[in-house]
Order: sequence, then C-alpha cells, then structure tokens
Amino acid sequence: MSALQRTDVGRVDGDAVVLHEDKQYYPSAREVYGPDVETLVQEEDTQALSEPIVAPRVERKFAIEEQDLPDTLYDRTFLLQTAEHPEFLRNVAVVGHLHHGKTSLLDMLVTQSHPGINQPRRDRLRYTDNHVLERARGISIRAAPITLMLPSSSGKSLVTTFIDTPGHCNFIDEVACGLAAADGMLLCVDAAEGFVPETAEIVRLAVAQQLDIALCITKLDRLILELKFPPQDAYIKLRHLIEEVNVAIASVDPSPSLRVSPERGNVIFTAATLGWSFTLDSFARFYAEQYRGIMVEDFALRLWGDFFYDEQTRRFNRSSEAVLGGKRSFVHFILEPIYKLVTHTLATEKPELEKTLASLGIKLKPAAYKLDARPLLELVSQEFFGEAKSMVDVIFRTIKPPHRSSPAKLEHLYQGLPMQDGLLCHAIKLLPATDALSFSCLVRVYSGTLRRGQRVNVLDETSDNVHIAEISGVFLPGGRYKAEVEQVGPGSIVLVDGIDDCMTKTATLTSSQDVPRFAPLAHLTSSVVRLAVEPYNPPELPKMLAGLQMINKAYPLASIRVEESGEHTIFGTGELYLDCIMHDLRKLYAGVEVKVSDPSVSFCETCIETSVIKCRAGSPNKKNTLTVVATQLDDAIAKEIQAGQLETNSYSSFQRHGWDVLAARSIWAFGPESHSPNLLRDDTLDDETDKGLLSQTRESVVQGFRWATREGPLCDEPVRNTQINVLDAVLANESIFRGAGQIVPAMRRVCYSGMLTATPRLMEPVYLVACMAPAESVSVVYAVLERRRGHVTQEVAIAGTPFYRVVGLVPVIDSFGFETDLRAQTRGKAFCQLAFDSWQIVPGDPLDKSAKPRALQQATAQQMARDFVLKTRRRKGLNTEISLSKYLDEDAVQLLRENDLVDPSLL
Amino acid sequence: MPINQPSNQIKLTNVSVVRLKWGGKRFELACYKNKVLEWRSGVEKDIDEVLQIESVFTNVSKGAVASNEDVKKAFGDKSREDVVQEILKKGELQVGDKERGAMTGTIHKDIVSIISDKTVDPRTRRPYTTGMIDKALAEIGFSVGTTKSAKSQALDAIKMLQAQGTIPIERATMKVRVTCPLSNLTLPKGGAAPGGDSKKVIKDLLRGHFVKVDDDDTIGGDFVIEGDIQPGSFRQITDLLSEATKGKAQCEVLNFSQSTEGDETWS
Repeated sequence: MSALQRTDVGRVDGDAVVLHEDKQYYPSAREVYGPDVETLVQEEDTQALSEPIVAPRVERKFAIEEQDLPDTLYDRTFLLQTAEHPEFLRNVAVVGHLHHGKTSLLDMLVTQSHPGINQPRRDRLRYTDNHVLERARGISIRAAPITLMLPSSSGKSLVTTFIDTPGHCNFIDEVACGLAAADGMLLCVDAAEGFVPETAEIVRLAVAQQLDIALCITKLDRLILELKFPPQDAYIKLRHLIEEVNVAIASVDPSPSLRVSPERGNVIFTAATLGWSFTLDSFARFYAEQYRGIMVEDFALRLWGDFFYDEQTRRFNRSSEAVLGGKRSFVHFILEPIYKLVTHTLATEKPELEKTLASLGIKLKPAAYKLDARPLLELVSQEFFGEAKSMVDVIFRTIKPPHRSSPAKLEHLYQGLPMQDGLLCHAIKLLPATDALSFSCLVRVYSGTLRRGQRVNVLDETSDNVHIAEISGVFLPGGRYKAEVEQVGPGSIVLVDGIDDCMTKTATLTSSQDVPRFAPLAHLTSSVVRLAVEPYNPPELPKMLAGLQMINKAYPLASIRVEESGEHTIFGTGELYLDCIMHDLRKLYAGVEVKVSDPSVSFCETCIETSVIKCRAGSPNKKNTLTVVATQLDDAIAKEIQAGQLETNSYSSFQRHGWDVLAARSIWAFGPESHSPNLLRDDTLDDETDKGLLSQTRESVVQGFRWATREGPLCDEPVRNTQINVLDAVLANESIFRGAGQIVPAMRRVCYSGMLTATPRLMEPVYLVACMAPAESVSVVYAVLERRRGHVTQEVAIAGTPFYRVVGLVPVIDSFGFETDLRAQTRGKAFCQLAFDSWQIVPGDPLDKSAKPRALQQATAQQMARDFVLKTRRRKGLNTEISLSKYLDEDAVQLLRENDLVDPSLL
Repeated sequence: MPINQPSNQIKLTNVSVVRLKWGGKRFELACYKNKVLEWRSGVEKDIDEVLQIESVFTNVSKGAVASNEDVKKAFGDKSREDVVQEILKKGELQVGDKERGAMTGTIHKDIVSIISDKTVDPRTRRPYTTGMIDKALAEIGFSVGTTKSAKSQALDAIKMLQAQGTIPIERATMKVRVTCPLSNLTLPKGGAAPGGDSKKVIKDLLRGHFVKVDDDDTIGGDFVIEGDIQPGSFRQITDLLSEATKGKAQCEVLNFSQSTEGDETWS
C-alpha cells in the first residue's frame, strides 16, 4: 500500500516544502521486505574475477567402484549364513614377488564367481587394483581384501577372504598387514622366473607367525608357450622351483610338516589368464571319471616324484630303468596331455580339432573356431579345466580355519591374555574411500560380534587414550564393491566405517576399556628414505598438515616428523613409496602445491673401538660423578636384541654369545627403545662403588643413557651397536642432590664423551639390490652399481631361462635414480628391486677435520663421513664443530692432551 | 703525438671505475668488477687483484692518465700507493648490476634467516623454514634495501608479515631469569602512589612483562622470577631494574629464541 502512495511523486501531506534531497520517490528495501530481512546493496563485485560464478562440480573419485552390487553365482545371505560356521571360513593372504600373478589369480576367481564381470579384451581386469595410481602404474600398491564364496570339488562351499598384497619391495609393509589379518598365505611363484630371494623375507615372517603356507605356481603357460620346454624339462624346472621354496621355509623352521609339495596337496598349478588351475588330485579325479576302478587318492600320490609309468605292464615303477621310455607319471599323465591340448588347439584345423576336443567331451560353438589362437586357447582351457575347484580344495585342506588359528595369532599379535567373552577385533589397516575424504578400516574379528551402529572402544596402538566410536557400517570387501552386512562373527575379515578418526595405523576394538592392546605390526623393513616438504604457498600450511595426517593413516610405514627447524619430513621405504605418497598428498589429500627437498636418508651413529680413557663427568651441582666406557656391541647381539630374542635379565640368552653370568645379569637396559641395539651394563665393583646408592638412581642413569642413544654426539641421529659400561659412580648421600635433574644430564654427557673417544663412526642404510637381467646386460649391472658405491655379492643363472639373477648392495643415499639408470643403460632389459638390508659404516672418520669436502664436488671416500655429518649438523642448525671438552672433566681433557690420545683439535 | 695502433693499445674490459673529486680535479682508478667492495670490506687483501692498472687516471674510458703535477697538487707528497689507497677508500663507485644483485641477494638471505630464527608459528611454536618465509615475503611485496642493516629490515619485515596475516607469525619469546633484591627500592616515576608497598609494586611490574611464568619465588630477600618474555620487553625490564635497584638486580637470558625443542614424530 505504502508503495502505491509513494509513487505519487514527492507529495507530502499538507503543503510543507520538502527539500529535493529529502524527497522519497521509491520505498526503501526495509519497507518492502520487512524489518527482519537483511538487505545489502553492493556497487562492486566482491567476488574475484578468477572465481567462477557457478563453480563446476568437483568430482572426487580416485578409485574404480561398481555402481551397484554385481551379480554373483552364490546368494549373499547364504554366504553370511555359511560364514557363521568358522569351519567353512578361510582367510588367505595372497603374496609373492612383483608380477608373479597374484592379482590375476584373484581375477580368475572373480570372473568365475561373478557372471557379469569379464576380462577386458586388451587389458587385464585387475579387480582388486582400483586406486588411480595402481591403475596407472599397473602394479598393486595397497593390500586389498576380497571375500568370495567358492565351491570345492566335493560340492561344499567355502567362504574365503583373500587379501591381495603388492609384490613391489617398497610396499612390503602392506604384505605385513595382509599376513597380520590372514590365517595362511598363498605364495605365488612365477613358473618361469622361479622363487626370488626377496620373497624369502615374507616366508620367514609367515613361518614365524605360524601361518599355513600353500604354494601356487603361476603362469605355467610360460613354460610351454614362451620357454618352449619339453615336458620332461618342465617337470624338472617345477621340481627345482618347489625345492627353492622349501629351502627358504626350512631355513626358518626345518620341520618336515611345513614342506610344500604337490603330493602333500599344498601346491596348485595355475595359469590364470588361460584359466588353468589343477592339482594332482584334480587330475586323478579327471582320470577316475574317464576310467573306472581308479582309486583317486592312491593314484594322485603316484603322480609326483620319481614314479615312472610303464605303459606295457600298466604299472608304476620307482626307477626309470625298468620302464621303456622312462617317463615320470607327472609327465605322462599331466604335462603331456596339457601339451597336447595346447598344440592341437593352436596348430590343427577345425575338423581335426573338433574331433580331438570331442574325445575330451568338449564341444564348442562353430563361431569359436574362427577366433584367434589365444582366445580359442582360453576357451578350450576353460572348458577343460572348469572352475578353480582344486584351488579351493587346497585352501580348505592346507589353511586352518580361523577358530583354530586365532589362539596362535593372538599369541603373536596381542600383548596380553585375550578375554573370554566380549568383543575383540584387530583394526589392521586403513583403506581410503573412493573420494579420499575418509577411510574404511580392515578389521579382523577375534571374538564377539561386530554390529552396525554398535559403540566400541578404539584403542590406538601408540597413544594411551581410549576413544569411543560408533560403527557406521560393516561391509564385506569385494574389490570394486563392498556389500553391507548387519553383523559379523569371529574369524571374519570386514571393512568397518566410522572408526578412522580414532586411529592412525592399527588399533584394537573392544567392548571393555581395560584390556591389553594389539602390538604394532612387525614390519619387514624400515623407513630410511627422507623427504622434506613445504607448501608452495605458505598460507596453505594447515591444508598440507591435514594432508600429511591422512598420508600417515593411509601408508602403514610412512612416518611424518616435524623437526626442530620447523621442517616437515616424510620417511618412507623407497623412491616409489615416496612418489606415491607425494601423488596422494598433492592430488588426493591436501590438494595444494607442495615443494619437496632432494631425497635423503636417516643416519645412525656408532663406535668401533673401546674408549681410550675412562670417561668421567660430574653432575651440574658437582656432587655426583659417573665414569663409563663405551665400546662396540657385537652385531650378532644387536640383531638378536632387535628381533626381540634377547631380554635384559636373562643369562641363558647371553650365554651363547660368550657372556658370563655376572655380565649378563648386570645388563640394565637396551636403548633408546626397549628393542634397540644399544646396551647399558653396570660394571661397577662392590668394593669401589656404593651399589645401594647406584641402584637407587638406576632410573635416572637409564634415562640419561636413553637420551644419549636417541640423539647421538655426532649429529643428533640415533645410536646403534654401542655398549655403555658404567665403571664407577660417586653419588651424593642426600637423595635431594642426586635427583633426576642431576644424574640424567651427567649420564648423557658421559655417554657422549665415551662414544667420542671410542672411534665414533657414522652408519648409513644399505639397500639389497636384486636384479634380473639377460647375460649380455649383467656387466652393465656391475658397472652401474660400482658408480654408486655399490657392489655385487652374488650372480646366478636362473635355471632354464636366459636370465641371470644378480644380487648386490648399494648405499641408500646413492641409490636414488638407480632403477632408471639401470633401465636406461640396459635398454630396459634388466629389472631390479631395492629393499632395505642393513646399516653399514660410512667410510672415513666423521671427526677428521682435515677432510674438507669441496662445494659442488662429490666427497671422496675419506671425506664421506665428515661430509654427511657436517651437512646433517648444518641442516639441523647445530654448531659445525664437535667438541669433546664440552662433555669431559678438566683433568680428563688434560690426560687426553698429554698422552696425545685423540685429535687435539677435538679438545 | 702517439700513434694509436693495435699493438700499443691496452683494452680494458670488465672494468669498474672508482671516481674521486679531490682538490678540484677528478681522479679515477680502473678496477676489476666485484673486487672494490671486497677490498673495502677487507675480504680481498691483494691490491693487484683489485686494480687493473696501477696508474691514476683523470678519465679511464678515454685512457687519460693523471699527470704527476695534478696528483701532487691534490694529494700533496703522498706516495702513489697511498694515493691509490685513498681513492679506493673514499672514491665513489658505480655499482654494477650483478654486484648490486649479489649484494641484495645476501642481505635478503640474511633477512630470511634472521626472521626464521626470531619467529615461530604460534600454533605449533616451531620456526618456519626459510623457504616459507621467503615465499611469504615475496607475497607481501617486501623489497630489500641496501642501506639498512639486515637485522633492522628483518624486524620491519616481521611487523609487515604480522600486519598482512599471510601466515600466522609471532616473535619467539625469550627465556629470562630476573633476580631482584627487595630492599632499598626506588620506585620509578609515576609507578605507584607513595606509601604503597613498593615490593608488591615492583613484583607486579615485573610480572606484567612475562608471557609465561615458570618460576616465581622469593628466596632470602631476593625476588626471583623465571619465564618467557617478548623480546621487546627485555629492554624495559633492564631499564626498570637499573632504575629501581641501582643496578643490583640481575636479568639473565637463558634462551634467546624459545621454540619447541626436539623432533616430533606423529603417531
């Protein structure tokens, strides 16, 4: 109404004169829209021109995912019902070397159980590799679980959760996750390449954790189609391969029950891309169907080893001489038929092939004969071998069901006695969701039932805090899909949503708060490669930090450290590992530009002799004096401490290293962590030292020792392989004067002077290089290694192939770019893998002041240690001079100077 | 008249001229680039490395050498070396492009490292890396001058960074311990009303400067306070103490730049 009145230009009641500027022609916004509406008038764009008015939708999709649940040959409710019976449940980790056919093997099982999913024409399916990087690089990067229900040959259905693990050495941390979840492992070995030494480490861990091992020989077709072996040689090659695996197993545990061998029913022969999978049993059953009167089990037993079949007498013989032709039964009954099938399919024309196939009961559509050789062979193989029931048989027989293996697993993984009832689950690994904003957690249920909507206690592996989280979803893993379920029981491996905020690497899920936790996973390698990162735009630092938090969760062995200088560093296992981390940080998690430093490594400090004098240091109040010497710790002892095989208070374990009772009983601590390779021993004598007082300050002395070994004297890096012996302690009588504040710094100083007078050395990590190269490229491997301070330790020909396996060592710091270098030099013919092997002493004396590394020049061997120490000190903002007198008493300095025991410039 | 021939012609390349007007005459020296500044700062000690030709010119580019009379008239009886030294010391120098670049470069580097030393990220109490400081300075359009010292420029830059707010930044606090005797106190002017407890007043004044107090105690008539202060407060504290106690109080600096110690590994 008012609007109407106002349009009547400027007329006001009465005849009052209204100034021009007071005239109101239009109603104000407030009058039109009412008092509770905020009106803004803007004359200029507040939005930057670069900002779109309607922003395009950002699609965050970093992995392949099925739109709907794909059809399966089994019913999912039936699967869940079966899973309630643990005897029909199996958890298997699929492990093996890179490109040894782990993912392809699972593809075969997926296509056989999912009617809608087929192998693509040109590419491989790789149903368990879905992350963008995995697709682009063509390798597995994550441990990926998949639950399938598969029929066995006896018609039973088995619910199996496979964990597909990566084969690349950098991602061996994911293998440890897979093994922690599984009850047994399916070891995949390429028939042509054979067993590689890198896999031996995995076998060692599996045997140590008492996992059952089944061997799967993959890519059997390579022996026939690529290497073109005669059947006899193929048998010898296979036997050799199986023996290599057995040697690896026996080196850990020589018990004959762990042997893998076809006649023991724990070896499967496969060629996944062609759909082959068979065991001795499956072939025996095949013959039994054809000919009556064959005892399947007895016949199967005679199909491997030195059994020779005499066609005339139709008898098996143990020696080849008695038999005409001298063919082993495996060759006669298994390999030759397969060879015939392949040659006929590939070589003969349609009418003849049709006849041959008909004799095997295979009938193909007429169009099939027009196919190319390879698809035709695939089709014939599928008809001949059928579903991979033999594989299910092997898993069913060889690998223990979860209810039988759980007690042993808990003994290895759990730090305490498990509860009798209530929920107990091990959250092993976080897997990023497709949009990379949250994580699903790979969880193994040990006892109780895990339900959706349940509130559980999440106990992270490191912090003491207990978080309570509600489980927002429980899913059966399925590669590219996950099937939601209401609840799961003991022994199941599932993906759980809703707990990722409460944990970083691993966690324990329980119904009660006061229970022990699962120990952090035992990893096969350590993160030694270091990369410093910073955001390109400084204001984006918080975004980068949030991204780093996600990286910390997504990669089991990645560790993020904020250094005193404010630098953010990422530690990883190798170049590829860090490359993947940087990709994920930039693209998935932080979405910001990140600057990276040159790669570097972590160092360690050690000493190689015994201190030249007894080192003595007083406490700040000068009322206590400690005397120690430092000496080198035997490498064998250091290794055993790290493996957790030695305890501080056990004589028996030190006896085998030649220690007497007194020495073994006087060990106070390992440091800096409980299983670190440094040792503190109390060597004081009763008549010289007041042992009572010393034992009262033991805590502080150990604390000082731990501090000194955590940050060594050379460049603040951890100390290794060093033993500190306390020789004497003069302590104040009043307890107030020998508190931690006095003893800890004194002990730290005296440890430093001890190490500095015991010929200190710097240690660097070393990679084990395993190369596979044809004969002509072997010399190149030597040359490339030599240029990088490396050397070859072993060179063997791989049986039955034109390849050599060259094993060597190379310092990690010089290994950056090694793989690219090698490939370029050999024109792609050599292939190598680098895995952390050990710590090695850097040549040169780190205290040698005459060694002056020149700028822009590589340090010579004598300067190397000094160069590394100076660079590290500079980076950390430490004084570049290492001074011994800072840590020693006056008279000790005098003694050293008079006797010319150390370099005078140090004092 | 000398004949200008290629054989008796000396060509000076890469020359930098030092010019001095003295006694109404212009004198020049032909020097190598970069070397004059090094000579002046004392890095270069060999004069042959600085001078291209030992003679004194009136005009280097024309090759006109100064006559002995002119030199004598202007400088008196000094030896040739002393004259050269004087010109080098007092003469004005045209700083080359690259030289200036190198100079600002080092100052810039110094500024960045000073800022990195003196400041922390208030969220983590850790210093920023030099790379990040560098980038942040570029973003706020900080330009390096050659006249002021690196330290004072760094302090200006910190204020600019704080004002612009590209990155949250704070001066790193100092850790100090103050020991102040509580007898014979003279209160500063306008401190407190006469008759008030001077001990309490001085304590409160001191406490006011501390960001964080670790220890606060009276031991045997001495007031001892230990904690973190803003670097700017240090001067005020020492002034206050010298005024109030006539130099009997002590202010010890325990740590100049306080930031989180040690590395931290995320878990």
